[in-house]
Amino acid sequence: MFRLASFRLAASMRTTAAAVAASAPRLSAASLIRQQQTQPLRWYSAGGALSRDSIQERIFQVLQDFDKVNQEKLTPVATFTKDLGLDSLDTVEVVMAIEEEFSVEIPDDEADKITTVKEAIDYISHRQDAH
Amino acid sequence: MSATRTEILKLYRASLRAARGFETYNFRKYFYRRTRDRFHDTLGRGSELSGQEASQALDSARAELAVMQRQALVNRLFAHNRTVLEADPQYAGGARRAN
Repeated sequence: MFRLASFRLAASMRTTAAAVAASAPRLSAASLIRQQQTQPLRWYSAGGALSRDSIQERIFQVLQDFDKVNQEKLTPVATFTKDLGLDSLDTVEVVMAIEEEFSVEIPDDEADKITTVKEAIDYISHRQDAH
Repeated sequence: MSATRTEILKLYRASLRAARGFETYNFRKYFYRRTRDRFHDTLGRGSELSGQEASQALDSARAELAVMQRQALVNRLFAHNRTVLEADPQYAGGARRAN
């Protein structure tokens, strides 16, 4: 899952790398980019927290990719079991897919508490390390 | 059955995590699919199973979890080149859409 995160970051870092290279003349942009391609980095200083809208959009994307979800009832307040028609095993899968999407690991007891789309959004927005 | 409900979900989560731990794309996808299908076929319809069937299914799921954890570790130790598909970040986690 860190692999995914580093791929995503790599794209945005390439543009920042050019700006850094301009201020540090000894390093050429090309060498920096080469270094980043071989050695994935995470810039903890870059970017801010995820916005609630983007979290919601990505969670919707995860749920849309999940075959068994009743797409017509997909709303921010939908319950996994009642509205989206999932059973408890499916809910585990959805939570795992959300974990993978945001590159976080959700402990068992907290994963059990996530039963609605809203709770998933709330949980991810409280996680500092989600990206 | 209801007493072991949380236990089953816990086992399921651990099994999916173990399946996700394989480095090789094909193994990872296969074990994920297999775990999902097994659980839905047997433990998913818990109330229809007799107590003995359920405990047998649980025991075999536990045994398989141990096998998967061990084999995923071995698979990570001997990881080699990723598939062409995975080299494209768009598909890094499987069949995934670009953001």
